[in-house]
Amino acid sequence: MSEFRKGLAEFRAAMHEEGERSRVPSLQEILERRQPAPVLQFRWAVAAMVALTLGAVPVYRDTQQRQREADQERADVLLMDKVNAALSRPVPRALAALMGN
Amino acid sequence: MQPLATSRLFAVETQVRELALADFDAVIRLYWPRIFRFVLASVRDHDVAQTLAQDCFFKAHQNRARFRGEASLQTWLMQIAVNLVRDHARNRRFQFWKRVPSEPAEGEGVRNWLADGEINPEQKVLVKERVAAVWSATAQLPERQRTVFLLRFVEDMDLLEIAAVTGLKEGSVKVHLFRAVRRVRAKVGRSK
Repeated sequence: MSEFRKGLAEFRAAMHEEGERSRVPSLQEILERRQPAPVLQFRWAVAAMVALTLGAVPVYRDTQQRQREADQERADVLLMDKVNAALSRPVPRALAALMGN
Repeated sequence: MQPLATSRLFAVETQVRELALADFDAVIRLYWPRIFRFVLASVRDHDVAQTLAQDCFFKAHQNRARFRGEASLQTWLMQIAVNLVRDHARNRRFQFWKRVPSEPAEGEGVRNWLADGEINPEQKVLVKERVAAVWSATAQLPERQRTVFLLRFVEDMDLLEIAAVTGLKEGSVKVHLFRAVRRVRAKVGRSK
């Protein structure tokens, strides 16, 4: 048998032996081990809150910015309306009485 | 007559499957050695192998309702194990600061595996060296080649079974196996 084949057969035997030797856990053990620890859950909660807060800051800033822009736009529209109203007067207010006659 | 026989066979198979999954402790007892040794051969770390093998049975237990019996229970469990080993390798790549040496200390990995009294001490040393050489050579293979190699030579699976476990085509399995054997043979030969 070649060295390679011999090595392969011995490797296989060693792995099989190790598999047989390993302690087989019960389902109960496996399920208990996989339950996340309370500390870990708390850490996840804190991390989630921090992430949410950090994520909320740009959103809040964006909302504020939009609000300011909308207010400014409304003010501009009102101002333009006033200017238009003044411009569309046929005669100055002081001469309006004379024009009526 | 044929359809009736087939449907009965299917019903019996379903019943056996349901019984097997109902007693999941029996499933673990039966398949643990196979899953554990495959994972150990892949990751070369006893503690990690223990954890990943447990993860494998945990996942199987969580998803047991989805097991429809298209593949054998062994193939299904092995699929989960292969995916876990792959994920572990990927995570390790991104957690280089946590990395522990995957190379076991000289002789450490194959310690005590050989039954005492069967061979003399000199032979035992030689066997240990050969086993260590093969194991070290498999560790240097790319992930897919290593998986295919271990499924073939440790788990004695045929090409179709390996294809089912890995999701590769039979032709790809052949190619990976050929390349893996060539590399391992070259490395084992060199380490002599």
